Formats: sequence, C-alpha cells, structure tokens
Amino acid sequence: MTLNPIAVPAVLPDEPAPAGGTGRSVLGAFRANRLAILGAAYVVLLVLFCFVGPLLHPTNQTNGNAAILSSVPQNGPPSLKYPFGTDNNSFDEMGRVMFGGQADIEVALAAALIATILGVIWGAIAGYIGGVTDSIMMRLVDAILSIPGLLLLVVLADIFHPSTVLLILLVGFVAWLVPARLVRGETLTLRTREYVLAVKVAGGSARRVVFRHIIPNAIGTILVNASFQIADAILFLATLGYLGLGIQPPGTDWGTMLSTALANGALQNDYWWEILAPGFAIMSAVVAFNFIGDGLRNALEVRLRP
Amino acid sequence: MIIYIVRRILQAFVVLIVVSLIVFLLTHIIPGGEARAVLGPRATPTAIAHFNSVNGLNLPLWEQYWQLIDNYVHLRLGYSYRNNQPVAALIGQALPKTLVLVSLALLLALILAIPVGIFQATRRNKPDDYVLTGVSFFFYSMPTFFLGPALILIFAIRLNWFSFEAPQSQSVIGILDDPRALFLPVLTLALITFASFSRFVRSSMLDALNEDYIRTAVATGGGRSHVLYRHALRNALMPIATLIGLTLPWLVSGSFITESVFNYPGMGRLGVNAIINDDLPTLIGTVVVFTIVTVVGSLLADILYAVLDPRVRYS
Repeated sequence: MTLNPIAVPAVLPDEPAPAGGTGRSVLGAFRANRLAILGAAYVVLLVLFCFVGPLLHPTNQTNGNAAILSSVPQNGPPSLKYPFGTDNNSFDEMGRVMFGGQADIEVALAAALIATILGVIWGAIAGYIGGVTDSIMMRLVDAILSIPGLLLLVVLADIFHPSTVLLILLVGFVAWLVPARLVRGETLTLRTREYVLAVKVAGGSARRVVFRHIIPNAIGTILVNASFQIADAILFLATLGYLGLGIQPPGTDWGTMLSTALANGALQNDYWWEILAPGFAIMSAVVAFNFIGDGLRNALEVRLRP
Repeated sequence: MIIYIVRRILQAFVVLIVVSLIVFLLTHIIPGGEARAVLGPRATPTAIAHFNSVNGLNLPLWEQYWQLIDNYVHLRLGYSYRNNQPVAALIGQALPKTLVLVSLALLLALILAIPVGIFQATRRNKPDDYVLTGVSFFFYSMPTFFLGPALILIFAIRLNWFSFEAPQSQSVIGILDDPRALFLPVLTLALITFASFSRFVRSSMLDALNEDYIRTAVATGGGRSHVLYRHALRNALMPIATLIGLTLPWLVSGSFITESVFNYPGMGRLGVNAIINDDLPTLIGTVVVFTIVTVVGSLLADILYAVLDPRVRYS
C-alpha cells in the first residue's frame, strides 16, 4: 500500500521515455536517469554499510555491562572515535544505525516480497477470472484500501506484539493491496491479447496462462511497484518502531532508535545526533528506493501508482 | 449524476461493513481472547466467565456481530478500563481538537501548495521547477516523527520562537487561543501534505494549460496572466475536492503521529497512549472513528467533485 495516495514522482516523465523492450535498452534508459542511478548506488552503499560496516567498525551493541559501558561517554556528541556520537546507553550511534539498519532492510525487503507475491497472485486471478469473482475480490481490496493502512497495522501490531517474522507478515499483509489492483488492471488487458488466446485455444490451463504468460508480461509493473513497496515498508516499520511496536530489545531498528532517543530527552538536552542519525537513515533509504522506482518506471514505461 | 451519488454512497456503505467485519475479526483474534486483554493475564477463570457473559461473548458469533453493529450505531464504543471512562466520551473530547488540527494543516498546505504548483507549472522543467520538486520530495520522504522533532529542536529549543508542546487546553477555544503552541504541530502536518498537493496542482495546471480552450484564449489575444488565472487556474483547481478526499487517509495517519510528537490532546494522542497502556478498547475505538471520518470524508469529496464538474459523467 502506498502511504500517500498521490504519486510524487521525483522526475516527471514529460518527455516520452526512451523505448524499452530488450533488456539492453531498458538498462540504458535506467542508466540515463541520474537520480535512479544515485538511488541504486545509495542502496548498495547502505547495504554494505549496514552488513559489512560492523566488521570494519566493530562496536558493542548488546552488552549492557556497566564496566564496558563506563569507558564510553553517555550521550556523547559526534567525535572522531564515535562519528555519529553515542546514545543514552553509551552505545555507539554509528554501530547502532548499522545494527538497526540490518533489521530495517531485512524486514522491508521481506515484507515487500510478500506483499508483491500476494498482490500479484490476487490481482492476476481476479483479472483473469473476471465477472462476479473479480468484483468481489476487488471490492474487498478497495474497502481495505480506504482504511488508513498505518492504523490497521498499528492495531494488528498492538494485538500481537510481534516478533520480527510476524512483523514482516503484518507489513506485507497491509501492503499487498496496491500491487493487487495494478496487476489486475494489467491482466484485464493482457488476457485479451492474441498470444494468451492462442495458449487457451491450444488447451493451456488457466494456471499456465496466469503464471507463464500473464504474470511475466506484467513484470515491469510488478518490479516498479515492488521498489515503491520497499520504500513504504521502511516507513511503516519506522513508524511502528516510533510507536514502540518495532523490533524489540536487544535488537533495534531506526524508528525504535528515534523513539528511544526522544524518550530519553534528546530534545530537551539537544542531543541532536541521536535524532538526526536514525531520522536521516530512514529518510534517505526511503528516497533512494523511490528514486529507483521512478527510474524503473521511466525505463520500463509503465504507468503506476493508481 | 444522482445514480453516481447513490452508487458512491452504497460503495461507502460496503466499506463500512468490511470495516466492521475487520474490527469483529480483530477482537476475536486477540491471543487469549478479549477478556484476558481487558482483565490482564492473571484473571481467574471465574472472572473471565463473568466478563464473557456480561459482554455477550458466549453468544453465537452472528449475534455478537449484530451486537457490535448495534453498539456502533448507538455510539457505544466500549469501555476504557485504563481511563475508567466510556471510549465514546474520550473520543468526544478528542475528535474536535483533531479536526481543528487537521483543518488548519489542510488550509496551510493549500495556501502553500497552490501558488507553488502554479509557479512550477509555468516554469516547467526549468531549474526553479526542479528545485521546488526537490523540496516537495524532501518533505514527502520525511517521516512525521523525524520532521516534528527536527522542527522542535530548531524552532522551539534553539530559537525559542514557538512552544515545545502543543496547547494543553481542555477546550477547542483554548487551543485556538494559543497560536504560539499550535503553530508547530500544524506546520508539521501541513509540510508532509504540501508535497502531494503541490505536485497535484502542478500537473493539474499543466493539463489545463494543454486544453483547447487555453489555446483559443491565447489565440484570441487574452493576456498571459488573464489566461493563466481566469481560464487555466479555475479548471485546474476543481479536482482539489478529490485531492482532499484522497489525502484524508494520509492526513489521518499523519495526525496520529504528529499529535504524539507534540503531545496534542486529540485522537492521535489518545490512540498512541492506548498503545502504550495496552488499552485495546480505546485503540480500536479511535481507529474505527478515524476510519469512518476518512470514508465519509472521501465520499463527501467525491460528491462535491461530481457537483462541481459537469463533465463528470460516470457510467
């Protein structure tokens, strides 16, 4: 589900995008989009930072032993030794951003994957069968879409106090509606194409038509939406973290870091680094995935975000 | 158009039925059941049985569902054991304050976004258009719980221009009476909405500028500003009604977080406190009311649009 119902494309495709088709020209069009490249490069760096970073910059992230922590300043401002400062527990903030980022990236990718798979199957089936089944399936999607997704997620998270795996399922469950709608629209046009009709005439089963012919041909739409899904999942997770429903200690995520900092008086005491580090991490990751989505949209020439 | 409106009302009705089913489902999937959620993990079996019979939880499912509908229709939204007050009373106090916050933010967002959108449309693909796009995108990607604290840190702590916390008055008048405290929450909510609004005005204005009647107006010698404001803008602003409808879920989610950041005494804070206190009846009540407001708001926006724009011919 998109957090914002109105698309905010970073780059407006006023000029027609270069013709896509073969993999090479799609790649070319993607490369031509500087913001998309920037986004992709940032994501690669972010993944390296979060997953390889801790090897190069080892920090204590879980041991609350006072003897170890007393050697580290509490709420220390950024310095050479602690580039992002330290937090209220004397944990190194940069290490914490890496550590929390791992959870954020894992949950967001997994949730986006689940939402995409669920939405694609739902939308393809609804669009392919059509008729009353389609109406019922899509009215259900419309109805759930008109409930603010965040609130639904918050209630679910509050009822279950989720583990990481459950968190992934919940975010995925709230987010599958938009891909369902998009893929259903694609299916409606694809199912009347000659090659789909040919498969049907040749005796191909409905399952074969949907999985071998319709879904692969809608892959552009699916991919573009998936990158927006990741951005939204990062925001959802961060919001849950802010509300204290995110990854539970000793783990953390960026939203939880921000909320912990606020609860520990980061504002009153002007510990700006404890707000800036996780806040910037969330924001930049969201922007990067949105840039990628925009670039892919231009490259694959799909109209998206209903 | 009557048919369209009737159809649209029926659609909203179906949404509300689905919402009620979801709420019903939610109260039944609580691990340990509703009784345990309310009475706590150490409740005795007798207490649970008593709770279940008092609240009709041992009735057949369809009767329980009917009871839920009946309760909502009569505004019985459950009882908050934490606050020792009916949820409806809590919401009755909070909802007007949230409506004040959301409408002020909506107003501010429109005041900011309409001129910016028009300007961008007239300067399409020039550097200043790109800069403003960047600004919109910046606020769009900024989570509310980052933007809010950042504004507090800069404008309340460092510069001390505005208050750190939202007005705490019991009455709506009291809240409006304290603009110094009210400004930052309104600004936060307005800024996160600004992005989508200015994008919308920009593209709507571009569409309008491409219409035949604009070309005619220019060809017949209408001046630049005359064409821009008398012809293009009028038609470009019509979809604003729809825009507000579409933005409602976003605004509602935004106010949920904004209120908790600024400790604003509205629905959002009520909901967030319910999360912290494990007060499920209040949380569900808040979310249901928020959802109803959203659904009804979108409905009104769509009807308004159909009334405003005679071109709307829905089949």
